[in-house]
Amino acid sequence: MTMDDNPVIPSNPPPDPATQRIVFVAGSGRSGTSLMAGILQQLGYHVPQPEVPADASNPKGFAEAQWVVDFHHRLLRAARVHPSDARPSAWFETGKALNRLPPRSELGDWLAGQLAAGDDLVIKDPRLIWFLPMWQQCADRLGATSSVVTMLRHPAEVVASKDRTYGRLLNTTNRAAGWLNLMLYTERSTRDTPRAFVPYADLLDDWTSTVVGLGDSLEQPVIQQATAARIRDAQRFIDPDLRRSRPDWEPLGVPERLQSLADETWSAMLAIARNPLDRAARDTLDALRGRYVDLYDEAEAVAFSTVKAAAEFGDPAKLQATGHRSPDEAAP
Amino acid sequence: MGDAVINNVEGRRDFDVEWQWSKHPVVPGITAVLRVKNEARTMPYCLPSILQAVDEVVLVDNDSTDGTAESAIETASGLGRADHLIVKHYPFEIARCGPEHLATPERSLHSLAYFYNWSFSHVRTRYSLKWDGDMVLTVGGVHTLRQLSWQLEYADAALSVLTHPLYVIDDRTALFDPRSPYVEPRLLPNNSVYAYAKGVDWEVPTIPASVHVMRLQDGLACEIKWLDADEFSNWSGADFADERRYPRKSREWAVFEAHRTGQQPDGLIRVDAPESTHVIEYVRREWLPLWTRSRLPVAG
Repeated sequence: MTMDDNPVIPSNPPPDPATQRIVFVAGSGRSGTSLMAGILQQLGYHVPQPEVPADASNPKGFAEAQWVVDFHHRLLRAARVHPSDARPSAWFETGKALNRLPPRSELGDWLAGQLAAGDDLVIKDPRLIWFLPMWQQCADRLGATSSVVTMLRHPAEVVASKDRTYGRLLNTTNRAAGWLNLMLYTERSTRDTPRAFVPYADLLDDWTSTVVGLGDSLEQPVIQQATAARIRDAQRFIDPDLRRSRPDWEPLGVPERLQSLADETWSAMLAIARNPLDRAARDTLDALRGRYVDLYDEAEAVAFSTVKAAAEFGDPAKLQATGHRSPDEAAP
Repeated sequence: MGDAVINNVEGRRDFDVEWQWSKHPVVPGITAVLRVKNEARTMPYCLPSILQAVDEVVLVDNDSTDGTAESAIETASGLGRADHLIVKHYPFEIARCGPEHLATPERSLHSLAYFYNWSFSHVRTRYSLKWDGDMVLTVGGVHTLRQLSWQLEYADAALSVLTHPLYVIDDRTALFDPRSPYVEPRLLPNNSVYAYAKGVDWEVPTIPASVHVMRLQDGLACEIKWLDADEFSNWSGADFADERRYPRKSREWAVFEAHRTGQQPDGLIRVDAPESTHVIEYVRREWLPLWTRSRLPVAG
């Protein structure tokens, strides 16, 4: 059983012109979240300042508030969760933050200050989805409405892009698992919220109609009433060198079972993006979450010796790198 | 580990406790279990919020004579949530809290512990929520439980909920008690580890000592007390003046007594709802969230 559509909580409440709006841009890193948030910023949404400075991985900038990134970073560390954590149980660990007064108050105070200026906000951070319920509760209490825009990019492209950008800090297979965990639960956690899923490729093909469609479906006056000057700003913001790439699992060496789950999840997410009311796709995603958890549990059980060794003797990768011998190899 | 089936000492096989988890794999989600008796009046105010918050509600009617089950079905139908409500009937008289409970065998059909186990045995989801027919969730409470439904899909946890008494005088007026909040483990995994056992005055959940019970944030729920009703009929021979043994009931008794004798009960906050809004709805939607934000969390 899963939670059905709830007729009592409307998925798209009627807009109140006096209400401030917050658009949360979610999705895996390297999926076009910066592009989407940047376009919204150009169209008139306010990105709380100061922003994370641009770098070589994102020369046009991240459209991310530094405070938001720092806040999430602290909470993730406290919850012992990685931004791309593949553990299904990690959602409960980060969800606990909502029940703790200090982070809730800190966020509520900060958000109240940002909303005081009167602008509609765009909040983006790849870590955001771990704490979305807390954001939504704070927004509700401050009388602002929330919408979530989730960027979709094929998992093989995301994993390849992360490998290129961040190197091999995490292994490729774990990155693919992290994508699955993040996307399956992003879909599940946003069912009560006005939301849209946007394929990155759509944004590259025709950003104007994609974003205008978003503005209509989420009833966002900033988009609906964007002036020609704003549209030109957004046009100039988009890097003409951004290109679609072809997803290719082959060079990544991700195990077939994980690939297959990722591909099926990708197809179901695209179906939801095309038709948010696609009940069959939602049921498919519920089943996929169950299959992913089974796979994760199995892998965790198989790799338990590694986990135990790391817990008892330290990080096995570091032990290997330093040539440190395990106790079994140690001379008597 | 608990038994898959619990027999009763009266030998009524048709009322054995047969846990759903022993018959079928549990499915993700939360089921609220409400044990009710003559609470028809409360259903339209209290049932909607819990129906919104969880995947399924099991309402166990203990021989009500006021149409409680019918009122619940009508309320759920009005919300379009009738298919999320399961009504069960338990036709045996339950021993009242206190000495009567203590004198009743745990496996008797009349025992509170047995009644609870029978009620919770119908849960098919991974988590069960102990809920009362007179409890109402704030908007934040609904949101929190809906989030927990997926956050707990594949995590193990035990969670407690804090509730504040709300004494209803009439449709527009109530007295809110900030002094005697009640925290109880309510959201528990539905598996062989968790069941209800006989305690001294009432039933107690069997929570392993190794399990840390996490408390949900304050201000999520209220417990409704109608000041013109008998709120103590499920108690036997208890001395409510004994504050150490019955702190919560003792406080309730004092409030009812003060109201009955026309005195102003000590330490309560009077809440007046705006015209055309029932005070329960006003408290859960607006008043309690505002009050919670204006103060530090409750110790406990």
